[in-house]
Amino acid sequence: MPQSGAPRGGIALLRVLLAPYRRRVMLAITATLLSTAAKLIPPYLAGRVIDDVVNTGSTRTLVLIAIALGVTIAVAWLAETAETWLVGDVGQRALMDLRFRLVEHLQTVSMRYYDHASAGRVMSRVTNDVEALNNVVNGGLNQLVSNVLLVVGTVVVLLVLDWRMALVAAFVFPLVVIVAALFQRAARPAWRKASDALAQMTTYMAEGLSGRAVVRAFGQEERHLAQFERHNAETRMQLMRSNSLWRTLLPLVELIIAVTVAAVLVYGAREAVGGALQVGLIVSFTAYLRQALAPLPQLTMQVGDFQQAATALEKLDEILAEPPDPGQLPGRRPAPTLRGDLAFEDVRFAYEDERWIIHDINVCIEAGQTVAFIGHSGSGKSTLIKLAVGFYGPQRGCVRYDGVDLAQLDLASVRRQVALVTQEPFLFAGSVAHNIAWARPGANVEDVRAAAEAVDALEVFERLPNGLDTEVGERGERLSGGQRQLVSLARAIIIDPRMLVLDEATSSIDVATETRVQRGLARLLAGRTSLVVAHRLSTIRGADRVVVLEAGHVVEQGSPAELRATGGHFAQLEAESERVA
Amino acid sequence: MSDAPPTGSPLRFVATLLARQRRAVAQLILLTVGIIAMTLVTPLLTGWAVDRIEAGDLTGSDGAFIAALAIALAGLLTAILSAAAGVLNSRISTVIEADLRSRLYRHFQVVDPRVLDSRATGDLVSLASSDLVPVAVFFGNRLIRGLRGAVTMLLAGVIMFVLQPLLAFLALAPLPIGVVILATYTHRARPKLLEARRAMGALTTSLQETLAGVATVRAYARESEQREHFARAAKRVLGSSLTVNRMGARSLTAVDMLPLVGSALVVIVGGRLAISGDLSVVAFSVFYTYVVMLVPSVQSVGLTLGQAQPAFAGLGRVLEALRQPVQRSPTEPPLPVGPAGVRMRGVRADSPGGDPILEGVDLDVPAGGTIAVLGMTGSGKSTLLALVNRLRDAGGGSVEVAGVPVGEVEIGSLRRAIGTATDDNFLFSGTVRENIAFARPDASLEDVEAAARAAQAHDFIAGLPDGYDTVLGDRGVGLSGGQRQRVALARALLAGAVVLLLDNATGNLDALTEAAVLDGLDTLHTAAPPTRIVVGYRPAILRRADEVLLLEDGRIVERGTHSALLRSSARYRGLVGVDAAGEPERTEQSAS
Repeated sequence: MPQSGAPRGGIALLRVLLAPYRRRVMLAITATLLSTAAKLIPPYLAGRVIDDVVNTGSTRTLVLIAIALGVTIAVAWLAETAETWLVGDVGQRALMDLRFRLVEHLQTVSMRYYDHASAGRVMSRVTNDVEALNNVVNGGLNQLVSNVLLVVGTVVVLLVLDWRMALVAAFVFPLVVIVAALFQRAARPAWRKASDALAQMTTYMAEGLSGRAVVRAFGQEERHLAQFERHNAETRMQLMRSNSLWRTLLPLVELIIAVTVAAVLVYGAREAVGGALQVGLIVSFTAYLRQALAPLPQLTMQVGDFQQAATALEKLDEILAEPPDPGQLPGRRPAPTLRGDLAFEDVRFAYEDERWIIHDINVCIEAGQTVAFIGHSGSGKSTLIKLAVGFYGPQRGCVRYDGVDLAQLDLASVRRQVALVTQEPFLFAGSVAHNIAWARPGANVEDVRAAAEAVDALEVFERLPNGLDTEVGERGERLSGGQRQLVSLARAIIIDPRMLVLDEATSSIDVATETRVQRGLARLLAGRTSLVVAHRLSTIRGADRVVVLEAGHVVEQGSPAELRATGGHFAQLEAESERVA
Repeated sequence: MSDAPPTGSPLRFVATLLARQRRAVAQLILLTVGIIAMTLVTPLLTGWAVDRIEAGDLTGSDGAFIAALAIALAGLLTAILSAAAGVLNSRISTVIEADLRSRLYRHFQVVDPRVLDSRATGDLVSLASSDLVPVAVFFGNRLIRGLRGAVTMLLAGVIMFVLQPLLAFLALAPLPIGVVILATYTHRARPKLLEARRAMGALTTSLQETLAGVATVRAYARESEQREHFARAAKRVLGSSLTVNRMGARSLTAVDMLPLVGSALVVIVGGRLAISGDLSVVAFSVFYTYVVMLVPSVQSVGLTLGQAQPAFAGLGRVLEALRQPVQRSPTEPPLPVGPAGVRMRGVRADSPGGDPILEGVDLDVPAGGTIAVLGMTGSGKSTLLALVNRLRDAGGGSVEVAGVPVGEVEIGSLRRAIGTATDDNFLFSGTVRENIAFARPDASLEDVEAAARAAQAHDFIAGLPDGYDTVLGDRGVGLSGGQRQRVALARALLAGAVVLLLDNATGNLDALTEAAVLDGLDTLHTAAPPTRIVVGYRPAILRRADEVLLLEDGRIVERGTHSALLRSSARYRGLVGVDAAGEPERTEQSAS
């Protein structure tokens, strides 16, 4: 089944994850075997008490049995403690290793992966699937193993004690397996429906809570609630249906136990009366059956968890099998200090094969120049930015930094010298200072202040409730749009970039902040090679060169003065903008 | 169900939840009694069988075979009873879960908006989803199972005492120890568990940031720092969960061993008593079977005790949320139909910390008039707008729409008369059409299109794969910020026949599109134009307003028409960034 580069499968992943803990795993297995063995002794000894002690009156035998029981309990206690501890310990550690692997890997997969999968979905996949594994590690991995062992051990002991009576009892085990399998077959679709309904309801609720201002502002609470109640009722019904199913099937196991005990009694009674069998043995037998079978209903319930975990492991393995972006891996040539030339040479790019978004683009930016890209939405400006910083690799042609193909270079070494500033900057939870320093490891308070000052934003930050230590909240939601932009500019300048790739913000903010953003930008641009997706006339006019894009083609290119003179797209845009301003 | 805020103790609240399923609960109690009886009778039947075997009576009218048959029948009965009880149990807990969720979510719709704003959305979602599960499972399912286990143990103890007091004492003595160990463990492990959960929350946040901010992380080549950040959070999670694991291994295993100790005592002491003739073989078998059969009951009681604390804690959180004050609204009368002006007098609004956001605000917008509001970030503009549709309530003064104080009309009728668009541009997953028609789901396609045209959204919507039926959202098409804004505008235009609140709702559009949108507004409602309150900075907006208010630190510091303010106020000119003649000031950058 596995092709090259394909997922290796859940089991293989499990093996990889457990490899560092081989010794502990072996110890855990030993402990489990010991504790299972220990559980198999008391029922036998109870039978011996009836047959050998009560019936013969031998106190000596009783003392021996007492000692044996004491030792058994001590061993069982120790072994089970070790087992529980080791399984949890290895499980938690391996799970954390898995999280690490995922984070590591997701840092290296191609950015295209996020286009397909969307960060939100990758996120919920990683969290939910790891959670499913966590449930198994925390809730019953060791029980599953030790109960299976217990069943096997019980069968062996019963066969040794009296193979004929064991055969009478033996049909119970396949029956239980059949019941479990039936349950699985019947319950899976029901459970799937229930969990789908649950997921839909949670999504609906989460969306409603995120958009609660919209729901209220338009007075749509009742309609929204009605839809929610439908989801809620559907979930309730599906959950009940799936629960009823296994709640009805599970007691079958209890019935099977009772019938088996009865059968053993009938058989045992006949043999005992004939003198071929002792009463104590019958008591032992029934105790064995109860001990081995009683946990099975619980286990059948857990099978669902285990199946989920197995599926989760497969899915996570698929993520891990996602091919990495070679530029994210070590091994490529690190870029030297950049002079600042940036060129697109015959660049062609498509998200899906042959549906070109970018057509044979040739643009040369000389060191220190500012080049403004303009065009309608969908003309390919944002894609060009992603190509420039190597988020995507072009299918044809290349992006060259100082004449070197970006595909040859270690991307991190290039990106450390190129600042990307986007329209809607992403901020991390933490303080303003943390977000600025974030871009340059080891930056101290002074560096942060200097960076803020350099983009003329220090005053704005200091006016915040806690100054630079003000928490920005999840994704910077506690700051205004303009403040977020200022943070992102300071974050860009603190790395003292050689070059700048900038998607100019369109959003209109208060003019005081806006002026600051503009001033900050001007300082950031000064003397640095800049590729700007421009929306403001002032930025466009100030550029050394303007490139007009239309449907992925360059339709005009030249200095603002040249383009104005030719009277093309640019001239038209400029005229219209003057009219409304 | 009644949506009155729950009063009284948590247990009383649980009682009201259970009372809604009175019949199911009564049936469950009956079934549970039956199951307890069956559990108690089975060892006695085993004893009977052993007795008959010893006596060599197999086929008599009370012979061993009949006893075996009785055991099988008891098993059958137990199976039927537990199946029915299981179904009821899960039904009760599922219904409790759905009820609680419904109550919470209904409450979220009417609660004072500030209550929700003070918590992370993720918190609210988990409160109404995953946090409810342990509460519902405990009170609808676990609790009665625990009680069943306790009663079974108690009654088995009584029977065993009747049979042989000393042996009964020895067999049962370890069980209370188990309960004590479990209770102590639960008590000690709880803070550690909470710590583990908090650390887990931080880890999840770190993971989510790494993914959501993946572009930023890569653009700045900060992968290794992100990794270290993650590693630190991971270390804390691992540390606390390993501690919990160690504690569990020590305590829970000990509890598992106690029944074993009990049965060992039974075997040893029982054997001794049997030798001296104080205990028959039959009584010995009965005892031994009891001890083996009581193990699940002990575990059930332990489990119940262990889950009690988190369940009560969860219930406490639910109750606390349900007790948050709702936004008051009369059920009658609705807002009068027809054009409506907006009037404010001496309006005041406070932040949760008590600092004033707005103070002494007076404004008058005649029906069909337009007012523009201008001010720096944090000057109170958004709060001012939110007072009109009661997304916020004023802390003083009066806010009137159509001459009626907003607090004295039914809140839904007020909000449905008002169209709102902000710079947040939240769209729901669903089609473009559903989003635009959000406030008027029955609107015709023509109306939807007309609103979209006015918002300059029609052209790009027509270009989407399925036009107006294109699905937006996670699995659908992604829109750019400007496109989202235009869809949100169309939504507001379709809704707001009477009052339109635009809070920087054109700020993500370029100046050309913005001008077109503003023109579109005028052509859409030519018959009875809505009363508009508009926040924005660009002259295109300000010029179109009958009056412009300049807000500073929550107070109106200037008011007048755009042209008058341009002439009279330097402060105004500074904010708008133009000189007295209306020409753009060249204070901005001249890009390198």
